[in-house]
Amino acid sequence: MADDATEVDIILPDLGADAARVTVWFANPGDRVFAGERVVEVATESATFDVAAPAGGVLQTRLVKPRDPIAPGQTLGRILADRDD
Amino acid sequence: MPPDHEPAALEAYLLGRVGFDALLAWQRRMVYEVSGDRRRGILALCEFDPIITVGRTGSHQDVQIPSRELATRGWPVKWVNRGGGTVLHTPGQLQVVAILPLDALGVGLSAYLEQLHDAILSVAQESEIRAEVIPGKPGVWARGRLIAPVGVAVHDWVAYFGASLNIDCDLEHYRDVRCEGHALPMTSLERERHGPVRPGFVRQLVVEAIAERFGFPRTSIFHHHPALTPSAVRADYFSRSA
Repeated sequence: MADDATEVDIILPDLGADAARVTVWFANPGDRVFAGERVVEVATESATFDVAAPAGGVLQTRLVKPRDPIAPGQTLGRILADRDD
Repeated sequence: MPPDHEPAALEAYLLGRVGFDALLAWQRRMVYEVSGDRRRGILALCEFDPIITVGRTGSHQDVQIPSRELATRGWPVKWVNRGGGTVLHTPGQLQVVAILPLDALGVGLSAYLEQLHDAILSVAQESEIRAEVIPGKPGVWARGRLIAPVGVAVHDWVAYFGASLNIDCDLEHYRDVRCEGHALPMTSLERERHGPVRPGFVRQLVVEAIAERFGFPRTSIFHHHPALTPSAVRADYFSRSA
């Protein structure tokens, strides 16, 4: 699979919010994910926000864990994406 | 963030009392629909039979009622994926479910929450009570008590859930549940006014406030949605709502 796959970062977009933290991962390393599928949820005090997979493939790494504070632009995890995606 | 699209009409659904699970399923479908047509905005106003929902910052410790007593009362406890903490929902509390495309409306998360708070605050103030939004304390407050907890979720930049505005609910129940973690029980528009409140008038204010805050040029009002069958519309619901 590694020959026809490429790594794609899961990046926290600019939420327009001051502070956020990770609440839940919906996928484990090794799980297949689809482009646009929510893979991790982050939260501010009054809101949750689903971060979607930027590409289809296999979740390779989770770089943050629940309750970790996070900032816009931060890489939350990495997907080994199918080249077709 | 400038708006992506010119918003079309706000679809406002005045649903009466609906089952919580039915509303959740309907909400998921509406989020999907708005994701596909980002000119749309959907507002649902409804009430629930007694139920406790626990948001991402809530805790089972907020519910100070033994499990057996909860079962006797028939109060389910549901963990939900919205922001905010624990909220007891009872009849007389208006659920303000706002399904809005934030990117199309040109608002980030903080700006959205600020405008949603502001909309509920304006409803409280137009109901002639002293209400306020306190920095660092989510929700709308009146004389030190929470009157409207706010908690939302966002999927594909479409916001859902919203706020719960206490109109004329039985506040005695709120002594047993620390809503949003606060020990002081919530209050209501009726309690703060020292007199009756017309729920129909409050609903009208909410619809107008949401449409105005988020720039919808017109509003379409509906009393049902084909995908949502009210599980239990109380016979006197509309008569008391006049």
